[in-house]
Amino acid sequence: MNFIILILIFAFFIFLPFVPGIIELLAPADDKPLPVKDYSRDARYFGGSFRRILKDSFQRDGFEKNISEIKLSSGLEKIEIISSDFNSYEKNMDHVLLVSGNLTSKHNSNFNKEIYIKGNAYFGNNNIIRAAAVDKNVEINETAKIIRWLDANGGIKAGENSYLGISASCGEKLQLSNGCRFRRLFGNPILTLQDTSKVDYGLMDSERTDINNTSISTYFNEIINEDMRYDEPAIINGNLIINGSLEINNEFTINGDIKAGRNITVKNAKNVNFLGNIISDKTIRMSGNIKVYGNIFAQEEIELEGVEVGNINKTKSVISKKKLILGKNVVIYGFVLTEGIGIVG
Amino acid sequence: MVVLIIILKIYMLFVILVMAIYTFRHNFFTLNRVFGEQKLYYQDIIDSELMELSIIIPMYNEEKTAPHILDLLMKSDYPASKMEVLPVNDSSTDKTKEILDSYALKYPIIKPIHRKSENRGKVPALNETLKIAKGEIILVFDADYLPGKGMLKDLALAFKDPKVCSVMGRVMLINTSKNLLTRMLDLERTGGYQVDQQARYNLGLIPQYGGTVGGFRKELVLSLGGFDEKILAEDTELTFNLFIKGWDVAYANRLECYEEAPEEWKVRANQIKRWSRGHNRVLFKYLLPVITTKHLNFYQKLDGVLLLFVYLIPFIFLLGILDSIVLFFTGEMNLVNYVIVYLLVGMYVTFGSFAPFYQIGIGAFLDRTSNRIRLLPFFFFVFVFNMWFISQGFIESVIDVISFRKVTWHKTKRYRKEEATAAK
Repeated sequence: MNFIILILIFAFFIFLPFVPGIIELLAPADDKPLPVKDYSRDARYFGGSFRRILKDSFQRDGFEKNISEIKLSSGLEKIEIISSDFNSYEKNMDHVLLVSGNLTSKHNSNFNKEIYIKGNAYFGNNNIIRAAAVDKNVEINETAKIIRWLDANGGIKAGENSYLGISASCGEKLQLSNGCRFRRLFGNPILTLQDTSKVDYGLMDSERTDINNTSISTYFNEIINEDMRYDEPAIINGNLIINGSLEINNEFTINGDIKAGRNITVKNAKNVNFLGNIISDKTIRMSGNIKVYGNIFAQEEIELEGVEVGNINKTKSVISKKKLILGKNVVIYGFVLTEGIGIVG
Repeated sequence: MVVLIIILKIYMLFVILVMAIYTFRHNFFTLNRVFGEQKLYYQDIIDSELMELSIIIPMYNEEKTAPHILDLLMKSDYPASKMEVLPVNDSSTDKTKEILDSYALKYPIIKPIHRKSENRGKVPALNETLKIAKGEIILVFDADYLPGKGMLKDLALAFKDPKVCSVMGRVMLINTSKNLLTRMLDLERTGGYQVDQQARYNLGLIPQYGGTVGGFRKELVLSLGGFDEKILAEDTELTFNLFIKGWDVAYANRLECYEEAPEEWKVRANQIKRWSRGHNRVLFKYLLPVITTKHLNFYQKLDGVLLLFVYLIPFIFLLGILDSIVLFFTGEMNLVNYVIVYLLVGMYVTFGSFAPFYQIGIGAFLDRTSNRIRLLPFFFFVFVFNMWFISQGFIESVIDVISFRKVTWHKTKRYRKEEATAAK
């Protein structure tokens, strides 16, 4: 008898782990296919999406009164519609705002909900803005802070020590000042000088190595398993793939892509031209007088000074995982992203 | 008899050691995925200069699936001027040819290739198509896959890195809810991609090109002589062929694509047997090159070797079970040192047998699904099932090598219900 009881207890404990699974099979609670993210990348997604929601709500609901309601991803929100210019003196704006004219805000104003401005926008010192879509130009004064995103069809001028939130994007120039912090930027171009007319690219194009008569070759070079260092002027055709680090200290032109398993450093070198992409599994530090016609991508940090990336007809990206520092004279036609800290200085 | 018993005992210890090594590997990958540094893929790059793509879709009797994948590819955000779609009709006997021709009439970038060669199969089809493909980059999809709008662009971006010569996206199941088998396969994929592949990519080891939802540089593969037609696992072969020469495979966990999983155990048995047969041929061909290459570091070589042996381990384990039965009935289970044996067995029981479960559990956690992991205990049966059929695949691969017989590709059955339709 005891033996039978022991067998039954044994069978019970063997069976026990299967009980939740049997329940899941009989009454499935989690049997749907995992959701696949089907998307098309858009650097100005936030602004575009917000404008679409507003447009759809207008077409559907009309918004005839000054205060109405709108459905955003956060839920149903109050929206105030102002059909002229708007000067904000209020400390706190707790509803969505739609301004048909220009917006000017005094210092220390808080916009706690999304705002849409059809004209220009000027945000004073220490403003806190949750999210803003602007159809013309935006100026953000010193120490203003974007919490989520900022998008402008015109240009953006960001004052010193301002914080540009998760994303700041625009259709024209995105001018950054010292101490600006950011995560994701898109502009055409993104600049780190106060006055764009003073941008000094160093060498005129005619003085650079003649790169226009060459094309990026796609043949495969040997992979180099050691560090590389260029102290003398060099012109390279083809891709440079190094498992170690790369250091460039003189005039240098490469008609191909660069990949390094470790650091890539260009120290105060003039007439440096990269026709392809620059990719590192560690850090990329470049200063001097440098033109990059491809993308710059690092798994750790990027630090740039005196570097021009892409051109008006070629959108390119500068991406680093942990840290991105943009020093003086940086011009990027396109996209900038870091998962960590992005700072101008 | 004494010698035989000693051999059996040594083999027993060997099996325990092997299990301990794989235990460590599984758990290390799982911990890396939870606490380790996650490596960036290239999908965030925005670049107005895109590469020329050729998208190859091998097809044999794919009348039910062909319209879906072609419709989806035509909705892609990749510029039509930069791509061509090459569906390869491999002597189909259903309406695949008519469907492809109707799409070609509507979309000039779809250029069907109708093969009539007796040398049928995915690998010969790929080799032939590579020679006429115009794109610098080749992307490959099996016909049952459902690529999203941004998939092509994001896969192609990996090739901005000149060292990356192959790329692989993540496979997810569309028919998860069908039955116990599909639900188990769904969990297997979760552990395999969300944890295993991503961890290997993070650690700079050997992420695998999987033969679909991925691609490679055409010129490089042609310079390597194309794919070896004697090997059924052309994807694993390419992975190792690239790594031993110093090139990289990039893994893109965020590039998710649905596929249709086998819904019958018999079909699954054939599929896994074929994978094992192909993978073990790769083991025979690449074990020495992986160990001796100058392009891989110690950890990459170690991971490469362990990966090469993945489809041999079930056979080793199966023999280990038989070994233990013999030792038990001969009263010879008293192995060399009880302490070591207890430690190894204890380690395996505590962490080892559950190691793949940890991977799957963490994968499901990262995917923000939780109830499906209730099915984990059923993996005991899947484990036994896999062990049996993978062992069969290994034996077949040995016979392939010894007999020089020709390997033939057997297509996995499709379950899609819709009727065949021409281009709308």
